[in-house]
Amino acid sequence: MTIVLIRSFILYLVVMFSVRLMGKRQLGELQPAELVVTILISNIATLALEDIEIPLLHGILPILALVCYEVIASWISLKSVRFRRWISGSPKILIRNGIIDQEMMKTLRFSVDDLMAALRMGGVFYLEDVQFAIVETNGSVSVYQKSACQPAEKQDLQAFQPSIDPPQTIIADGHLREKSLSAIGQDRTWLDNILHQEKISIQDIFIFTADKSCAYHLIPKGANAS
Amino acid sequence: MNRCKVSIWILLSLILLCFFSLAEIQKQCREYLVIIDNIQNAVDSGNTEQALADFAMLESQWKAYHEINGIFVNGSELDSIREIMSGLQPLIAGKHPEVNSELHKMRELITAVYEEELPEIWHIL
Repeated sequence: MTIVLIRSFILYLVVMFSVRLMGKRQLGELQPAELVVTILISNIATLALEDIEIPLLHGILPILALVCYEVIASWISLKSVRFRRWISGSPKILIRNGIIDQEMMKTLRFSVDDLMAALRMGGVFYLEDVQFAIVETNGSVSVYQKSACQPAEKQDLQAFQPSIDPPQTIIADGHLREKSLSAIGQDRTWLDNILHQEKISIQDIFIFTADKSCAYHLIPKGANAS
Repeated sequence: MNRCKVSIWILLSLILLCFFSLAEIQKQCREYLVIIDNIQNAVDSGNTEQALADFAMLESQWKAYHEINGIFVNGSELDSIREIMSGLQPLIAGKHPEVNSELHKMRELITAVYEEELPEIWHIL
């Protein structure tokens, strides 16, 4: 039992390290090769966890090797378009200029229901509104609506406003984040002045956000967010 | 790029580890096989004392290498060898005719441990 406990901890560390080594791309969207590696890792880790007759090294070695292959393959695919197409495939156009490519749908084994569901997930409910629908290499469908159906943007209304960076979390659960403070171009003196005005200390703040224009939002501990 | 470098280093380390494990298992297996041959010769010539002394050497060698073996070799394979080894001493001491078949079995198992590690196409497939 103790051995299983220790082995599971070691494998946990190895799998965590492996996932970190694969990078954030891995966590957000799975390319075909990444999906294969993820499934294989989970299976190998399970085998080494369950059977203590198998040396731990026989579990760790293939996990690390698979992750290394994946990282090296993704690096090569960055350098070579041909390799990238071979590993990940290429995006396929399902709807071009408002016309459904039925042959492509057959090739991708995409049913009409799949297409309609993908369009709805893209926020489009009328097929005739779609100019382009593209199946990406990770299987998701990108939808581009016809110009007349696209929502109006500020620039269409000529209501221009300068772009403002999003607010930073300066204090979270009573802890100051110095980096966020410097990211909005302010220093501790500015923060101390605000805290003095609000008659509150850092330890008593649940969340404090501010942007570069010095507009801030403060929620004390124990208070409901407004 | 950093991830790629780390991956290449890890891969190289793993390859080195594989070579080391192969060399280590080969070395150990050869030593075991030499001792088993010595036991066999002593048994054939009726020298029980020599056979027991060689067996004691085999046992101490096994104990010394056991931890390293456990890292690289599947536990069930080691268990089979250990099982034969545990019954070998009384057979040698009693000049039992089964000694020969047990020694042969042990030799085959030890050879298999080494040979299965060799990166040959029929082992890979």
